[in-house]
Amino acid sequence: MMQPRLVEIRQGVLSKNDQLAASLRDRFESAGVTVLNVVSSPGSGKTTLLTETVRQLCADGVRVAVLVGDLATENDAERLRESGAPVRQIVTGGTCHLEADMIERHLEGWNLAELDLLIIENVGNLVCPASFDLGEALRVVLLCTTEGEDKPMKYPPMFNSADVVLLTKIDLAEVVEFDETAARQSIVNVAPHAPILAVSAKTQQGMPAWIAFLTERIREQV
Amino acid sequence: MHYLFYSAYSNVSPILGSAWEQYSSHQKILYLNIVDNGHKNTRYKQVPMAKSLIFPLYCTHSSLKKANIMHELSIAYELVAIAEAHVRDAGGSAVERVTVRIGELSGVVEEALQFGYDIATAGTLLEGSSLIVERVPIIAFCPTCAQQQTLDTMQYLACPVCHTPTPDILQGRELEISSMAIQVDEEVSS
Repeated sequence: MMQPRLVEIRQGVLSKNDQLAASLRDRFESAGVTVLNVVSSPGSGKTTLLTETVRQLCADGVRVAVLVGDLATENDAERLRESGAPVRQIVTGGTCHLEADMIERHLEGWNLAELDLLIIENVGNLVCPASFDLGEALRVVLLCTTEGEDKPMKYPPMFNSADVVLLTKIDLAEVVEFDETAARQSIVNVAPHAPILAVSAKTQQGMPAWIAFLTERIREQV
Repeated sequence: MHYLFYSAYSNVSPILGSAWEQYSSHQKILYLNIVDNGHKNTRYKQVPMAKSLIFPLYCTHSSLKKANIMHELSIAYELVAIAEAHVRDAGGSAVERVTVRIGELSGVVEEALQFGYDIATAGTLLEGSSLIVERVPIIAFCPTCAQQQTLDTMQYLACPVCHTPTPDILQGRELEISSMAIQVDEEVSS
């Protein structure tokens, strides 16, 4: 005789990832390393921005390492290596986001205490990575001038999860008739807490402010 | 609803990709290629899928060359793992329904989760069970009104009364299993 019974659970569906992310966060904090989780849609300039960011920080004596997620290729890792920092590729084999256990596995052999900054470049995607905490101190979400000003309104969970939003390829703003004021407003609508920085890795516009922002956060962490 | 679903590598999340291939207006069925590329020998299987469920494919975005798994499927697998452990702890033999709470800001799309649920429960103690989704509205604290406000959209996180931006979100990011109705064999449990 089968009897139905109601069982209360009240458990986060992603509690396994959340717990692992929390333990990573503890590890990062005790090692004094600031960790960024950089997210955007494909083609919005993550790799170019990060290559330039790492190059400048390395020149300032900041010890940086990079983990880069990609569905299938090593191309981004190869580009990032040009910046001089140690780079590891996480090929997700088609999975559209990084999870905390992938980060943990790829940290093996790196001495976190010898790093000031660890940059995680997530898979290009504005939907899925929003749900997966990687133990980062800062989630950086990019909005590219070529994407349209209302993109944050289309992907509220992702932009809302940002600690800072970067408007990338700002040098193209005029050519593509990008309305920066409207873009900033749509970011404020879905992420009222997040500071916004406009940058161009190509022309250096806004880069000093971005580097200063990161340097400040690294100093706080140590 | 029945899916023909094959995963050659049980530890590998199957990848929904390549988008739908064919649509038969007579059968009201879409065929979805399930790609399991946890191995170098990528395998493709065709899976019939109700037209109403084409929606989850949003995650494949414009570039269909890159097969993207929808994160709701990952979430469904996690959900099944947690639920199965609870069923075993309770000495249950099957599950009738699972109730989840999903915040409006959680980034989880209900239809996609329902779709993933059917795939992830196949061959488990949850097979054939129903998934009940309780939506959790966004509640924020308005610093100007000095009180909690329910927001009716995630596209404008501001007080509906005075329009002050509300960075302090109190509720709406939930993604949790709240309860399950399970079947317990009385002879076993007594």
